[in-house]
Amino acid sequence: MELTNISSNTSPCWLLRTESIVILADCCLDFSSLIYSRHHHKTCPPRVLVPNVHQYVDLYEIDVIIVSNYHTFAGLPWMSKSWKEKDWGGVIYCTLPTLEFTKIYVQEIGLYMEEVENELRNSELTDKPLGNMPGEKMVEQEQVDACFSYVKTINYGEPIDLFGIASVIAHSSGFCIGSCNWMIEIYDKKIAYICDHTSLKTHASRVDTKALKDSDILILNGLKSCPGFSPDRSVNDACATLDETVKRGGSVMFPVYPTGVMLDLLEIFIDYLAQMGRGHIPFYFISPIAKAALAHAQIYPEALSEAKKEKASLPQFPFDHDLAIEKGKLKIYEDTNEGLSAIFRGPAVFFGGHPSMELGLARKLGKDWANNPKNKFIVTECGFQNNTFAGRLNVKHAPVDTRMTTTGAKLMVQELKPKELVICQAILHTHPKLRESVIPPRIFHPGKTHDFSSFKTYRDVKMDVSAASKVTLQPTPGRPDVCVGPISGTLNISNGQFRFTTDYEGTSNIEQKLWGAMTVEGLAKQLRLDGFKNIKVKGRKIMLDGGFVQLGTQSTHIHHDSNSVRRKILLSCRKTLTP
Amino acid sequence: MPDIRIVPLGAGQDVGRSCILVSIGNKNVMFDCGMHMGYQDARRFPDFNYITGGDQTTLTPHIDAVIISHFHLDHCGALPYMSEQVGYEGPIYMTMPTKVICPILLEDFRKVVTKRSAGAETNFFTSEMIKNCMRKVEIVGLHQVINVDDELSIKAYYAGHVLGAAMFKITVGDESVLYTGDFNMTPDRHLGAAWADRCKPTVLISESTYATTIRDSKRSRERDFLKKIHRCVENGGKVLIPVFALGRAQELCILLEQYWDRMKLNVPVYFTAGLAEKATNYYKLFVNWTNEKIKSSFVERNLFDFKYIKAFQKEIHMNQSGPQVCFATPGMLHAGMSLEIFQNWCTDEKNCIIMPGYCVAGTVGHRLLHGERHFKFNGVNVTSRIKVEYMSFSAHADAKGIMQIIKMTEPKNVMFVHGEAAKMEFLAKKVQKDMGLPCFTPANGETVNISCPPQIKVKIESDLARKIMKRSLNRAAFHAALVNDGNELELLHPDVAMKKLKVKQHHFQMNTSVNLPEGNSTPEQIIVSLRLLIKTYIDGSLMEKWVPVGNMMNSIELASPDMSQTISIVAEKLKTFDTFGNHKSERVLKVTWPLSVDDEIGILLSRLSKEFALVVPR
Repeated sequence: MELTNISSNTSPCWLLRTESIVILADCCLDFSSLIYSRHHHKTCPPRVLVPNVHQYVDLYEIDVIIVSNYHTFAGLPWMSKSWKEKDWGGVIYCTLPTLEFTKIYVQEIGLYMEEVENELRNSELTDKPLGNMPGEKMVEQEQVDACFSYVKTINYGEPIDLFGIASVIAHSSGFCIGSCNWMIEIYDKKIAYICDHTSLKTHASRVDTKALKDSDILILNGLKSCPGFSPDRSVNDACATLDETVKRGGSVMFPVYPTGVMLDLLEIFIDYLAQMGRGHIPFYFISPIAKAALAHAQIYPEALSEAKKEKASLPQFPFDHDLAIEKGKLKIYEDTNEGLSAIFRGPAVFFGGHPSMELGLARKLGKDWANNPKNKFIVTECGFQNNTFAGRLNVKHAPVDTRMTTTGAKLMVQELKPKELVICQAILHTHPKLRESVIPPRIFHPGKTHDFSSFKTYRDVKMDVSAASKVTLQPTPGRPDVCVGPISGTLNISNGQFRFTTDYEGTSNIEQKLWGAMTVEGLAKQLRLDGFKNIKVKGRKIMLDGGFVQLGTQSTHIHHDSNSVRRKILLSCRKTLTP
Repeated sequence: MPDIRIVPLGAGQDVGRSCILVSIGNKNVMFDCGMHMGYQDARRFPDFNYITGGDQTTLTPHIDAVIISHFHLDHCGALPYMSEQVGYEGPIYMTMPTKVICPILLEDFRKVVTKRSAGAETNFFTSEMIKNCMRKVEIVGLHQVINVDDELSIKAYYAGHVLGAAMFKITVGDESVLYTGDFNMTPDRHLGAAWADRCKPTVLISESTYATTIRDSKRSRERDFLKKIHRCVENGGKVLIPVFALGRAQELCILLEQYWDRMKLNVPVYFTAGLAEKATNYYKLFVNWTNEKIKSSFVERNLFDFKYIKAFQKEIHMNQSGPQVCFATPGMLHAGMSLEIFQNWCTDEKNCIIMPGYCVAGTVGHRLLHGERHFKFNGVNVTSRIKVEYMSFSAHADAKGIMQIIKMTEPKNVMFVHGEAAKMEFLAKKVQKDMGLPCFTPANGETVNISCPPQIKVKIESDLARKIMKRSLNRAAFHAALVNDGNELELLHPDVAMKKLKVKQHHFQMNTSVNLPEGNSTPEQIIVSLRLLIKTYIDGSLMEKWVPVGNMMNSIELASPDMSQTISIVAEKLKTFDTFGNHKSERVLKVTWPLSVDDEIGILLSRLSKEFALVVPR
């Protein structure tokens, strides 16, 4: 069993390969190229980086892809072209909310990138052809849809059998609606796969850590990317900056992803301003997918926290967004062209994409507000470090990253007691102390493969007593405590469980090897027992109707012109042979 | 391995009071805990004394898990009585929509009973008990496997029927029981069709409400329903449809909406407010439990935001002249707006009331359905002249659907509950005959024992399993060695077993002769033509990759692709005598091959004996 770290950064992308199954876990988009583009290539259309999975495996060979949350899904649509060409038979497994939020997330990025590209094309500044940036442009909608057509949605705690060779099961990771960790079982080895795990209280259902215990390998991903910031302090900072800014008559924009922690923040900030007596300040969520993003947040009550479940059972919407819309406190717009210029004069609070501030509403406001120090951007998403916004005075960096700290991760490793711990090398930049974990981690540099093939693994086969009774076991001369006997039949698999049945049909054209020795007398007796008539023994030869059997020490010749009789004789021999 | 024991405390050859006890080994599970609509005495609840044996203990030590399939009262109506009054502290499992909606129905039921008895029912469960009972409920997601303890696990499947309805599978060791609850195999206007994987349960316990009905009758019933409404409003009448706010009401509303749209009708349609709005919210929150069509459009347009059906405003609409249709809660006319509307409309013979569901005995709805026409409301005697129609719209699988779930899940045994004795008997015979499956239809209190043959566990190295399965997706034949080292059994490749146990291989050579047609050609001539024939086998698929070796005049040797096996064919001329003592020359092919290529030779020989007559020179 080989494990490869495909990712060049902390965003997970792992390839797990055995002779009989190839599993890809997660595939994120990397937005660092967007920022690079702004600084270095002003005339280049925006590009994103996609993990080079095809460098490590023929995409067609992948049997199963498991996806932990909407972030880690977004890199997959780039592969669907090769899949479609070769009529790929694989499956992508994720929860239903992950699928739906990925659709929203990918659609938003696609529209944003297209918008900038069109703008550059139409711009009078560049009559030259547009430059080329490293990275990928957005794939066609057709390809995106094709990618989603490979998805089979699953629930938390739903075991998925993979061809009887392996199984995967998703467990809540507490990070966002539908996010999960995985327990992968290959043969009888357990691999726990953790991605974007949080034990803090969020809107999502509580993390299920217990299910990840006692694994042979623990692959640990998605720790906090801004270790200096606690979520509580960041929220407080953001609240303070928000209040200060609107007090001075300025506007605030939160450049966010369309779901995840923003669902909480929207509630928190609306509440906060109301508490501060500024309930009249309007909130806007402006994105082509704003409506769908908020609507979808409300319809997975099973995947939400206890408090939100409680609200759903009343029945009320789990999030207060719809209530805020009803009360006119929150307004939703698809794009900035809906005659919104008036509201941008503020003071108002805006939510919208994109956290890199290179796309969408954030990009537009970034230009408009460049000369207006009254207005502020508060970046609450993580993955965009402070230095990204260097030189931009009106940007406040207050990342609300609920994922595990180094200490949390070390404690969890201690609790889960895996036999091996696997991390990617990039994670050590932000969490160097992970090296000191109770179980010394095996560190994977980008592109590194390790072979865990020292595993010898077993599966259970069940058989009925009646099937077992047809097998005769005999002690071996070397080890009288060990018995052996030939067994023939059919191995069946259903729901991941092997079962043995003694239907002899179909076994005849399969290589058969027998062992041991027998005496002439022994075989003659068995043949008589099995219904052969006119048995005569002549030396080492047994005569029977229509043929004979010639016995050597380690070989026996069966002479008969009938297929079925020869087979019957062979069965008698099987019973007579002793090791 | 554990045997399975099943006894229905309710719903055995009956509809109502569903409660089925299943024991697998020493694990005991209660499927559903319902009330019976037909009784007002102790018989309305299952007889839990059966479980405790009549002594004063609670149910907790006797039951490991209680599972509720959906929110209908005949499946959950006895739950607070069971858990709070008889006493049960263990876990109760439901889907989230069921958990949310169930207490509303229980509270409604409680109000009807205590109001009807006017204080006589002193020992009925209280609102507090409903709350306490619901605290014991744990939510089960679809397909999520929940381990109740180390041995017992449960898994839920989508059942259609009503919002949140589920079928449940319980597993202990190798044995499992799948209970369908109430289910529907055809998607309707707001719910999807029931689905389960090929989980091969030891027993499938299926409802059988419509055991002898087929689907078409549902369509005609809907047509009938629409026709009756249309006729009534055409004549200027008002139509009252008392409904429970959740469930079939939504289905009927969608049905009516679409009819109104198609027929371009402008007669007003109303739904009494309150619970109705709440109900719509449940459908919005649990949109993932509805069908694909509703799910796919919910962001833009919620199908439950109706175009024609408006909120009923008592002051304006109650006595508004002209025709109208009104869906009103509650469904049994025992109180509230539906009863108030009934009082106002029932004296006019132009009007019509359609009862689309069951009514508990003692309610106005129940009395009306049983032919009563004289009522006393607030001390005033009223004679009802309104036209009364009863139509059942519950969404159950029909006979075809029941057969479908059996085929889908491939159980080893089938049991029917929740139906009429004669009807389920008919279907049971059909299942036995058509599918060859044992089929049980126990009455309440009657125990069915199903013995499960013990299983033996053998381990196999994954690599060997994979090599065997390489030939096929789900089943493959093999020969191996079974080794018992005193602790466990293991399947080994014969080579591995022989090496490990220092046992020598025993080779087998198979020999047969094929008689050739009479003629004078020599063995050498026969071999020449035989070589040509065999070459066509090697070029074709019959003996692909076999290699001719050696160059003997009167024999052919073929080696297997890896040279480990050889087949030899020798042509011989034998001098024999016929029955009259005359000389006769018989020509024979003697074929020898090792055991491992046994079947290939069988095929080859049967081909040879047919084809050789054509090619061999006389």
